[in-house]
Amino acid sequence: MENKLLFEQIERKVLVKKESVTDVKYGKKPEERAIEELLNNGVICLNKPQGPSSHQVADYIKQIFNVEKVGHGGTLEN
Amino acid sequence: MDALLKAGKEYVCIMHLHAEIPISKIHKASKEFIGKITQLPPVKSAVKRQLREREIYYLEILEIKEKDVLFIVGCQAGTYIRTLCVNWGRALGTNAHMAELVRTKAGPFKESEWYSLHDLKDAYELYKTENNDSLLKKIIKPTEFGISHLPKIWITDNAVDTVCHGANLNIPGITKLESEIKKGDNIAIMTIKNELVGLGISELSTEEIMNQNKGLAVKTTKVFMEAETYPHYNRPHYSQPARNN
Repeated sequence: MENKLLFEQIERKVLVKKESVTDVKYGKKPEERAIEELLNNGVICLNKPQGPSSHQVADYIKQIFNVEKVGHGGTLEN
Repeated sequence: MDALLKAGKEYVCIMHLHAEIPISKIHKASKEFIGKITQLPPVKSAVKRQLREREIYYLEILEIKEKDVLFIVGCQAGTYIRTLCVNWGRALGTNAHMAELVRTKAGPFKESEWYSLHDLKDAYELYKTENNDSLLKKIIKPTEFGISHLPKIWITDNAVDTVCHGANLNIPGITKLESEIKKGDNIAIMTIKNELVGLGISELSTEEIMNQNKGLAVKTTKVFMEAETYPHYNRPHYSQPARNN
């Protein structure tokens, strides 16, 4: 048996409450976003090197990508 | 990001025992740490030191070499692996400490999708110098990827802008939803195009939402989508009922 975390054990089905269509004029499917949009709003799973803090690494990424805001969502505690 | 901190984690760890213990005993003791366990967080920790219950979903020994035990563990957020090692050592009648620890999963993020700072730099250079964004697109994933482990509710175009302004989600705004949602679950509120609008806490279960036609479904806690991405919805105009003067 494959090892699974709690949320991976739950099999979810999609149920329709009421039919509805979306207007192509508004928004955009995530997979259709241009790279500029991803650079402004996206997530990266980074293998943080040992040594610099998460905060410092977020700073490096700011420099690499030349963007203004980079945050992090938790790092392994040592 | 909170959605990720609360998600389950998987670690690969080396525990160093302070005495050599028969392999069969180590395996047998490992079984005691699967399921609900109680832990006292370590002296140096980010949280208040009081006994707390955490769930271990799986714990599998990969290799044992003399006093070193390599194992993989899947656990609830907030489980201290350092403490797990200490307690496991005690259960074996000796002491033990955590020698090495690597996180291999955090919510939807898995080891196979890790990138290094060098990868980021290379991908960005390729994009800047040759206008080739293929590598960068692999590395930077849409925000939606970060919440892919959460149960989802899809809303109608008309409901999007009100949620963007922080309003709670009511049942009439829902078009589709996932099964197995329980009251109190963290929910991702999505558009029909699968864009993340915001996060919230469910006030109702899947069954209750399916069986009711009005009322509060999700309390919005965080908004991701910018307001006015979708048009502001004006309720259909109803004429005022005539008054008797």
